[in-house]
Parts: sequence; C-alpha cells; structure tokens
Amino acid sequence: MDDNVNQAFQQAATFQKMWTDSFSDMAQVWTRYSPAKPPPDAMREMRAGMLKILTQSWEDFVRSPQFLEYMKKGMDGVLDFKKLSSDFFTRGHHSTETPAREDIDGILLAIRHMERRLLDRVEEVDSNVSGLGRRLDKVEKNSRPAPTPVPREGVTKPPARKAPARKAPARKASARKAPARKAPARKASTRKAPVRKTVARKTTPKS
Amino acid sequence: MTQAQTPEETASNWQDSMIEEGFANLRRLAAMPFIAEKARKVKKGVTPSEVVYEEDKAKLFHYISDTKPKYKTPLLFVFALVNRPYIFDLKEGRSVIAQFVNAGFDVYLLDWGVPNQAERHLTPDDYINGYLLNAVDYLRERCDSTKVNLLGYCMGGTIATMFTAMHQGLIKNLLTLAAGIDFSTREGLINLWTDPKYFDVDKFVDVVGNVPAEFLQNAFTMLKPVQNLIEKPITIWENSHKEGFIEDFLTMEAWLNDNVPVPGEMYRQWAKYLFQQNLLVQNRMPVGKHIVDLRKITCPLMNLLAERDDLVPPSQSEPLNRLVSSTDKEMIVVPSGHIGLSIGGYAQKNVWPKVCDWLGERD
Repeated sequence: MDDNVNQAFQQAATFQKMWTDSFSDMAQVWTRYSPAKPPPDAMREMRAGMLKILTQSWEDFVRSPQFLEYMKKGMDGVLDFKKLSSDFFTRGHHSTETPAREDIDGILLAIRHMERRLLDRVEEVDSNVSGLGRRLDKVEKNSRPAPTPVPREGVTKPPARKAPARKAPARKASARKAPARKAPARKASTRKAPVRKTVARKTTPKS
Repeated sequence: MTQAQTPEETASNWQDSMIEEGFANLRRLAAMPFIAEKARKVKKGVTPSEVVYEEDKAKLFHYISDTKPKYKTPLLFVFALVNRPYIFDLKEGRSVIAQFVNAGFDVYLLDWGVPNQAERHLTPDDYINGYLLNAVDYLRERCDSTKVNLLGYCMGGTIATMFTAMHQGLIKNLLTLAAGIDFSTREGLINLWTDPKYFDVDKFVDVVGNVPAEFLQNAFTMLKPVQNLIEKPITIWENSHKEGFIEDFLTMEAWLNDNVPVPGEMYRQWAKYLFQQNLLVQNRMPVGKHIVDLRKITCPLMNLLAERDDLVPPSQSEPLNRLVSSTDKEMIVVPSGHIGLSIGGYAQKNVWPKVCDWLGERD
C-alpha cells in the first residue's frame, strides 16, 4: 500500500516537474520582448515561442512511461465499465426474453463461419471442376483421330506407334492453396449490374 | 544597420499598428457570420464520376474525362479505412485524381463504405482478397486489360502493397503514398500508444466491436493537440477575412472530421500483426490463407513519403524499396506533412506531374 502511494506521489512529482519547467520556459519567452516592435507583431512572436515550448512539452509528456501507464489504466477502467454495463443490459434483455447485442453478434459470427465454410467448399468444387475440365480437354485431344497421311510412292509407311498408357493427371495439391478467391463465389452472388448512371459528382454517404 | 528609434517614432509605429490591427479585427468579425453558410457549401469531390461496380458497401467510382484515355492500363486508387477517400479529389487545384485524369489515365477509386456493427467481423482478408480483388477483376474485364495500376495512400498503401505481393500477376505498377511498412519505429506516437505493454487490443475489440470513428478522431487530435486545439482556432481567426482561406479550411476540416469506424476484426489484426508484431517486414503477415511475402513484388514501384509526416513517419515507409524484388523502383521524399503529400501546393505543382510521367512511361 505504502509502495503504491509512494509510486503515485513520484509519478505526480515527475509530471509536476515536467509542466513546471514547461511554464517556466514559457515565461522566459517574455524576456525576448522588445518594445521597439509594434505590439501585435511582438505578441505574435511571443505566442509562437510559447506554443513551440508547449508543443515540445506535450510531446515529452505523451511519450513518458508515466503517461503510457496512466493511459493503459484509464483505458482498462473505461473498458471494464463498458463491459460491466454491457453485461448488465444483456442480463436485462435476457430476463425479458429479448435478444441482446451479444446474441446478435453471436448470430453474425455464426453466419460468418458458415459463409467461410461454404466458400471453402465452393473453392474446392471449383478446383475439382477445373481439374476435370483439364483432364477432359486432354482426353478429347488424345482421342481425336490424327489425319491419315497420303502414302507417297516408294515411301514405306513406318509401323504405327503404340500410344503410351496415360496416367490420370495427379490432382494438384497446390490448387487448394491457390489464392483464396472468395471472389468468384461472392462475385456471382453479390456483384450488381454495372451502374451506368452518371452523376455530376461523387455521392458519398454520410458517416 | 537599423538605427534606434526615437520614442516618438516608436509611439507612432505602435499607434499605426494598433489601428491596422483594429481594422483587421473588424474585417475578421465581419467575415464570421458567413462561415456557417460557407460550411454548408463545402463540396466533397470535384471530378465528375460514376459508380461502375458495387459489392456490399464498397463502391468503385470511375472518373469521367472529356477525352479518351491516352493510356490503356486502368489506375485504381485505394484509400485507408479510417477516413473517406475523397481526399484524392478534394477540390479544384487540390485533386490528385484530376491530375491523373488530365494526364490521360483511366482512373478508378475504391470506396470501402462505412461499416456497421454487422460488419465487425470483416478482416484484412475480406478487404484485400475480397473487395479489392473483385474490383481489380472487374476492372480487368471492363478495360480489357490483363493488369491494373494500383495506387494506395496511408493504410491503403499498405493494403495495396499486400495485394500486390499476393497477386503480382494482376498489377502492372504499384504506387504507394505514406504507406506503413516497418512498424518497429517508435517515431510515430500511434506506434508507441499501440505497444502491447500499454494497449490490449483483444480486450478493446471484444468490448467495443467496431472501433468508433470518434475514438480514431480523438487519437488523431491528441497527436498534435497544441496545433489542433490552440493554433488552429487562432489561425482561423487571423485569416478569416482572407479571400478563399475559409473555403480551403472548411473543405479540409470537413474531410478531417469525416472519420469512419473500422471493423473490429480488421482493427484487431492490423494492430496486432503490424503495430505490435511487425510481421509485414518479416514476410510473415497472415492474410486469410496467405502469408504476405514482399519479395514477390516484382513490378515497378513508386514510393512517395512525406518528410514531416507525424502519422506515418518516413522511416516507416522507406524500407519498402529494399524489401521488394522489383528492379525498377523509385522513392520521392516530399517536403510536406501526411495530408500535404497529396493535396499540398508543392506536391500538386512538383510531385504529381512527375508521378504521372513516371506511370505513363511504364504503361
């Protein structure tokens, strides 16, 4: 407990020193004041000097470990409070048998997982269909009868070469690793017909 | 050498400057009532466009030109998920898109849309291998081109880089603007604040779901609070009577405050794998079933960085050029901040015409 109090005092003292120094530096700016200059110009000069010092002090302040520690504690406090209030409202909703935000988030997450699984499957089917297509092309190419050459006089026809037994092409393992293109599946369902409407300027929905 | 002023001269100078300042204040005051009216007239985007493709909330815009495109390969713009993409086409004279359209490119922009709680489970895989891949496929079909040029800004630059690494065959040229690649640097405050020691991203996303736009907006404000909360109001006041200043200021502010929430899972993976574990530079970044390997990028690369970028410091983007396998790669360091890189006067005048030429040569 004593340690905590001491630490808190030390931190406060560090901040105090930082800002006291800053204000003292700001006050020193006024030593450069010259009555020979017209007052508005002199004031602007003093103001610029003071703001420069204030900017530097702020930079030092927000980079100090003490500030970062305070920031962390402050944010933790806010998040804990938000969580507490959120839990409270969730209980309230549940007691009246109405869905809370947590439930809606859960549904959205479930839909998202389902979408991912479906897209993975579609991708798999897509790669299988492409593989089949490639194999069919090869089969078609090979089964096409070659044009019969017209035998020339005095030329002996070479013996027909036996076509080597063809193995089915091994399925590329990399096909599944190919760029995860959710796109084709998504595209088909979500792409809208190109909008041809010309607008005078870009319409941007309000945030 | 300036001679010392007599007391009479000093008094006279004081008097003149006070009168001048008094009148300037009256002019500023007179301009105030019109600010609200000007704010209502702020336009978002200037180049005529049409929506050519939609998927869920993502929309693909085509920018219409009076003339036929000079270059065949379409150019696709990709922006971050935290702000709206109309920064590319902010206003006349400040539009990157207009620069490319006028240079003869067929320009498209992918707007991710605004996610709601139902989309909290969207991941980088959905964005990169879903929406972006589909948009690229659509463009290839529409433009009868085997490849597209990709330009990404900020987080969009990182997305474009990852996409190119996974689908190099579809990309002709890659252009990145202030793209975060190496997150080990602690120059940027965001990198420091997301350190796993101080930020529990899992707890954060589990509780909030989508990361609220206000949270992101406040985080950006706190990066430079003195500039954002003190200097900015003073600048508005002091320049409010100047022609065009308020219009420019309001257009910029409208965009800066137009943050959008980021889907929770997207944020979780982005923060964890990039900001906390820095997996992209190690070629270990998982995106769905893929592992992003930057060495697979072989296309020409143009990497643009902003010298005074406080959001994505140059040290975070520079490593890209040595991590890719491209032989044709270039890097331009622009003397500007994060936003000035695209819409700043210097970039508009000196950088973008050069980038248009670079891309045109590689069409």
